[in-house]
Amino acid sequence: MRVIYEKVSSDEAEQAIIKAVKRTDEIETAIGLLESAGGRIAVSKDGQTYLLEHNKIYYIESIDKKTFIYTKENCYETKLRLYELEDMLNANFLRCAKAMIVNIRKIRSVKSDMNGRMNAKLLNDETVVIARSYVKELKNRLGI
Amino acid sequence: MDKKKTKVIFEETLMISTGIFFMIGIGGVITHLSGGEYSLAWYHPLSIIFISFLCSLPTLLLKEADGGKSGILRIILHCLSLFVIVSVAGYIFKWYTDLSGYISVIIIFFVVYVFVWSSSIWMGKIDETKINKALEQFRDEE
Repeated sequence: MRVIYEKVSSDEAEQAIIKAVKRTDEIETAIGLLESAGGRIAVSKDGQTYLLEHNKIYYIESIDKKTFIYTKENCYETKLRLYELEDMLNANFLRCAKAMIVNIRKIRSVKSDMNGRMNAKLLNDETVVIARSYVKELKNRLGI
Repeated sequence: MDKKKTKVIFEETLMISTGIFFMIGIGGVITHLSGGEYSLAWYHPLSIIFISFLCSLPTLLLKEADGGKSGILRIILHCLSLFVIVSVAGYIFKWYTDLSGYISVIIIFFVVYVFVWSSSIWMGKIDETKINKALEQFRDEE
């Protein structure tokens, strides 16, 4: 597909128009990425509410029916459930276990485990587990 | 049972039965070359697939389990549970009738066990290499 980039002078004038014969999966992914590029989620920490940019998120974990969002150095809580966040976030975010979503762009490297799982080391040196059943989806997202 | 678990059971059954058939094939060649007689009973092939299926069930529990007991302890428990399944079911299906036959079955069991684990680790390493290479183009700048 031919891509045309045109510089504009203000934020208000920014827009993306996709002209295609059919709305394919690739186009859906591109739309998702564009729509959520500047997306924010309302989160809270120590009684304060913040708007957290999607691209700051490293991983999201659900513990005892509470949802925690982890960034490079902080941990926030959100009222949203994991499945709601999964729908809201773009294709960079992968369900990697029953109670966890990881931002693929924040994975530094993976190491295979003996039982078919992968240990993913993130850019902030934390490690999360990608369950065996989600490894195939990770490969799909990476185009392998 | 969901699709993913069914797939794991199917893959494990396939891998274990392939390993056993391979070992039986090797055993047959060795017996033939050393001038001996070698044949299988009519029910042996199906019993191999059935026992492979039984062996895939503890494997599913091992692979689906999150955390808990340490990795090595879980592998030891897994190996023991498979050993019991093969010993009991092998006796029922007359894979062995005397001590020497039982020793042969035990040897085949351990060879197949190592073969299946080695295959899994090897495939995991291939995935690991591919994913790490793809991540280089995908991840954010630090």
